[in-house]
Amino acid sequence: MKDSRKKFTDIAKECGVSVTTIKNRYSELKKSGIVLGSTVIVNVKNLGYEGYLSLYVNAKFDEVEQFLEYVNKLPGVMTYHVTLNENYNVHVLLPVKSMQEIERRKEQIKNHPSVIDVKANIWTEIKSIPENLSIDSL
Amino acid sequence: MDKLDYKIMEKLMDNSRLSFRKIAKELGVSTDTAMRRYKKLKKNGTLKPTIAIDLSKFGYQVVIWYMISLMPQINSSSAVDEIAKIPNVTTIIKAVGDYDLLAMAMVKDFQHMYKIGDDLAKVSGVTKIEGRPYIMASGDPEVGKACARGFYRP
Repeated sequence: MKDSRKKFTDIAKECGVSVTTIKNRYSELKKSGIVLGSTVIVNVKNLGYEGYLSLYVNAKFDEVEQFLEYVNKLPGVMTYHVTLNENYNVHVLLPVKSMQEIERRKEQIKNHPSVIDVKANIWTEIKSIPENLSIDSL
Repeated sequence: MDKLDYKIMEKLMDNSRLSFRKIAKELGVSTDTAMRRYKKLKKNGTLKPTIAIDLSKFGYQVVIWYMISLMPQINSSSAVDEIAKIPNVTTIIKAVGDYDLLAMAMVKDFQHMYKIGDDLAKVSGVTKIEGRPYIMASGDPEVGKACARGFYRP
């Protein structure tokens, strides 16, 4: 989790076992569905984005699916999901490059006919530490 | 950052263990170029390679987002450093608005949720914590990868 590109030879050395053992264990973890795959965490601030626009949306109860379809097609949406919040039922996150973009992106969401209310917060920095997860026992 | 950097990132988002040889072949560049570009992206903090795991297999059922308010005099960076030491907090966000920080943690049950809440309350300068639970989807590799990246997109 700390570095998925770490060589099996290095992991083997650190664990005091053979490279074959590490290879076999990794294959087993993948086969059993414990390891789902590998990916990279991207720091979008290094890609020219200044921050993130976090929007809590109250969409009409019977039109949430319709709204989610709209959000899914919007370019640049980083993530969205249905929430258990009492006042808002959808959370949408968008990386933004400028103040103007914040306004434009908020309007894009607010103007959808299913939307009753939108609450905005600005996220300025995200620190991802997946290695902090305790996976000591199954 | 140019188009090649973005293409390398896209390849690695699908599979961060892809060999430099394969990346280079698929993108029509030399292995050395692919390796050099990757090392640069990693060194400057643009990329962090990780694995996606099925959290439900380890008993994790819920993601809690803790919205944290800090005393005005507190430097949010030092609070972030303290929070990063709490086990199972996998994402920390600096925010402007209703709260100062947002900490995302994976929990196994209510007791676990309260334990992390108690740990967060001990962080210097914390004045208020509000937790919001989200049910986790599990078993889907794409969802797993998205969770590993810190974001879930169905």
